[in-house]
Amino acid sequence: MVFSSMSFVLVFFAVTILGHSLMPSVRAKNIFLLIASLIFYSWASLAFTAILLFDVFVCWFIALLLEVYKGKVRRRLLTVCVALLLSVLGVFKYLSFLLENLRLLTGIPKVVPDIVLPLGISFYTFQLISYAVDVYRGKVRAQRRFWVLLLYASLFHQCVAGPIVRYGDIARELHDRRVTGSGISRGISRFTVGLAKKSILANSCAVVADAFFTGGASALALKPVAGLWLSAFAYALQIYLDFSAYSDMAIGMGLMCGFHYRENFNYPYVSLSVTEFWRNWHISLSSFFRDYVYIPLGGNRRGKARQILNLFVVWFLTGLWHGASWNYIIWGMFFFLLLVPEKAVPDRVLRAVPGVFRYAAMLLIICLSWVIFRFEDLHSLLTVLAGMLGLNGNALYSAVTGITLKSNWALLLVSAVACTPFWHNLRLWLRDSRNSAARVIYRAYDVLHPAILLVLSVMVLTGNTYNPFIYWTF
Amino acid sequence: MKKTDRIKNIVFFTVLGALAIIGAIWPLRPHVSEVEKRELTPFPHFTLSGIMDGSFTMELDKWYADTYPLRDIFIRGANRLKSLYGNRSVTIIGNDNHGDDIPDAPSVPPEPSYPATEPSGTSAAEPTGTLPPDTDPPTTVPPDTGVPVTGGEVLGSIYVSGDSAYSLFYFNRSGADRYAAAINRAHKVMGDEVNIYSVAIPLSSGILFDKSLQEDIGLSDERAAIEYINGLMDPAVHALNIYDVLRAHNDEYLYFRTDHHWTALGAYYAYTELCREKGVAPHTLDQFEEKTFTGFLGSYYSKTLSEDMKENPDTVKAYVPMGTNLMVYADKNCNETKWDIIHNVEGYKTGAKYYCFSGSDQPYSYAHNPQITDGSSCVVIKDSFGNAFIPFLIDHYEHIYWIDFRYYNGTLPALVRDKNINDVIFCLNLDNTTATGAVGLVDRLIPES
Repeated sequence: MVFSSMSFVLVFFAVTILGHSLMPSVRAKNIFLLIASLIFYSWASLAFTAILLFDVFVCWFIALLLEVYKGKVRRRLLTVCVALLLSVLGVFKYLSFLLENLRLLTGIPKVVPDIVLPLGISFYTFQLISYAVDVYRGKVRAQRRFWVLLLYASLFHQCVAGPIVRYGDIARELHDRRVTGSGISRGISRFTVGLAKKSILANSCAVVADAFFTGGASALALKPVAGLWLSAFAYALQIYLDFSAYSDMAIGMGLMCGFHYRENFNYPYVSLSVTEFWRNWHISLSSFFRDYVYIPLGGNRRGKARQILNLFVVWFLTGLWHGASWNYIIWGMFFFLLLVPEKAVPDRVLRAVPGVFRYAAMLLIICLSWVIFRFEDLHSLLTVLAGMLGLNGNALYSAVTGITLKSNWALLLVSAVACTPFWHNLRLWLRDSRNSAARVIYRAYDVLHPAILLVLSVMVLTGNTYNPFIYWTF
Repeated sequence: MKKTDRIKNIVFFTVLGALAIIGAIWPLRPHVSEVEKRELTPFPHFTLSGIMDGSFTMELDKWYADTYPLRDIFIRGANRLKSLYGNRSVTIIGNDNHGDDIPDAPSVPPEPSYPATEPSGTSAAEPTGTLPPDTDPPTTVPPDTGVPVTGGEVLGSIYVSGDSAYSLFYFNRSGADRYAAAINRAHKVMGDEVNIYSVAIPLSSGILFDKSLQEDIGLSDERAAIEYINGLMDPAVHALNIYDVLRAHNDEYLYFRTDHHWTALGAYYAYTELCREKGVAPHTLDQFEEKTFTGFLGSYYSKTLSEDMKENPDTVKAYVPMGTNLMVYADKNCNETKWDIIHNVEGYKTGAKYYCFSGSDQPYSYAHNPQITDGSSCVVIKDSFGNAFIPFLIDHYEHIYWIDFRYYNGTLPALVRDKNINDVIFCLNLDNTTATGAVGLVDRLIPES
């Protein structure tokens, strides 16, 4: 059940929000949320729930031991915990990929098993690792109650597609939180904006992206240059609007239940450097790698060569985390290769370059990176990249490109603007304006937009079978 | 809490609650969608394995969305919203496609280099073919939902301009090779005593678009495609290229604007070409009684829900055969029904007007023309385009059989042998003579021996 499905919005969400608000105490609210989360998780497949329960149990048990033992034993316990969690992730997410590559190299094994990826395993594994490490570091106290830790890991707001919420961020709110009218008000705004971003904008941008990014390598080799760029641009819009929408909805539902999750995106598409882009894109993932991989490896404190190695490790893992396929690793390496020289250039030199050039360069980098991200088949990927550079001998432009652009220009424009802080700033400007008309407009907007966006989204989702979340399986 | 927050929350939860309650009123849920010509997702059967692997809940989600009570209103609303995405006076629905290059027709038919595959994804009927040659007139008329439709067709890419839409053609060489090989096999199996005709029907864009527009969009050349397929066929096969005759009349009403089919007029010009090939004189249109059914909104309308089309629907004209208007069809359960070759669809739904022709898409149909007593007979292997073509053949044969290649589950040689048929006429649109899936079904009709 994806967040942008009719049954989620009109049944699951409606029932859980009502039920949560009716529960008399935080404990009752937690029990209710846990049951709801387990139903939500089991909805995709009951079999996957066993894996989630196993991971949480391991983590809960070892974390308790971490508070009992001292010295080297603690380190060993943490190693066992992280190794177990990563092994489960490895088997379900990477084993087929590994065996497939082994088969290509050695011919063994003959048959590669097709392993189904449990829902959200990449997200909750990282959440649990962060919890175990934070207990080890003494940053948070171990959770005594198994079911509360299970609630943290399985909470349907963020379990299957992030943000990767740190235990420390919500540890207090798991026991003591208040649901307020203004929290609900902010929550429904966030939720409906996310719902509309996904169901109206991202899904429609997907149609434009698919217009030319379609078929295998032989079909892709025939696409006109401008058509491929149009699809690349639309895909970049789609992926941000899709993924950030998921975080919006998660944060919104959290607010409605009294949880405050950290922001996961901060307008990454208006960044002027790759470093800035990654500071603002999928923040919970990049900060995870920063805090649990990069800094423990020594970060930038052990000399240049070591820093480059550390960056390599981080970006290799970032790529691999997104999927068990070479293109994701190439995608990670693409950013590694951009970040190393960027970090070598002093800030003042970068700042001397006019913003418009830096912005144009970033736009290009962002579009190219998502093209790499899109094509798991490397032959198709190379074909598209060659096609975008005009190396496939195709026309620059075609009538279909023109028709596609003409019939979607307003959508693409609104979507592009939705990737910037424009609406946010406009809203603040209206709110703080001294002009009474502006304030009236703001109030009308503020009161009505969640209901309007809900109706529009449900309208678009009705009978709409194309609705997979891009990040669903990660 | 601020007052605006309170009002905002009340408004939002009222709307959410209303939508949720509407969704919960089970009896309001529709089961079929008329405009889409399909049954909506049924409520799934509960199974333990379905719960374990998530297929039950997936179907449940699909059912909930697909049968939401306000579905029709919302779909229209969504369509309105999408019209704001840009200038949609001209759009292409479907992804950017490219056909294979069409080689010059070879003089020697090549052997197909691929194995014949089992057709899949289409329901097929039990073998039929035991109908008596003479039948009584239809005595019962089915309800106004129209002729029972035995299956659906999937539309390929279409070009929509205002109140008109057009099918786009992308050539698939391997399918074309396989189709020609199937026809050659039919000739080989049935021998020289049986005359085989192949009529590949062009799609609307190839006939109606300027050459420059066709090239701009990257369409395959339909004339060259037919030429290529015909060039692969055994010289003993009468392979017609009706492209030129249709193109010469392309200022006439040859194709519907709101539907993917050709009109009876388009089919008539194809019929004149067949007569030329057979060496018989075609009847003129004014010899037939003409029936007119207005208000037709076909498959393109279902696909686009275009307001322009709705305001300007198509008109279906049909020409009643002179010798007889009586036929019998056998549906997929082998139930025989007496019917009219040109059936009165006056009170039918707006999307069902094309069903007036030849009993629509039944696996097996038959007509006996009592005006002709020479024992002549033909079988038409047809898709839905063929339905508009068949009525013109009635006045040339004593016995006319037609089978829908998608649903007929017997074999063609057996039918030809059983019924002692003289002429075998393949009458399929160009997509069905080149698309892999469709050609697989043609293959199935014609086994090696």
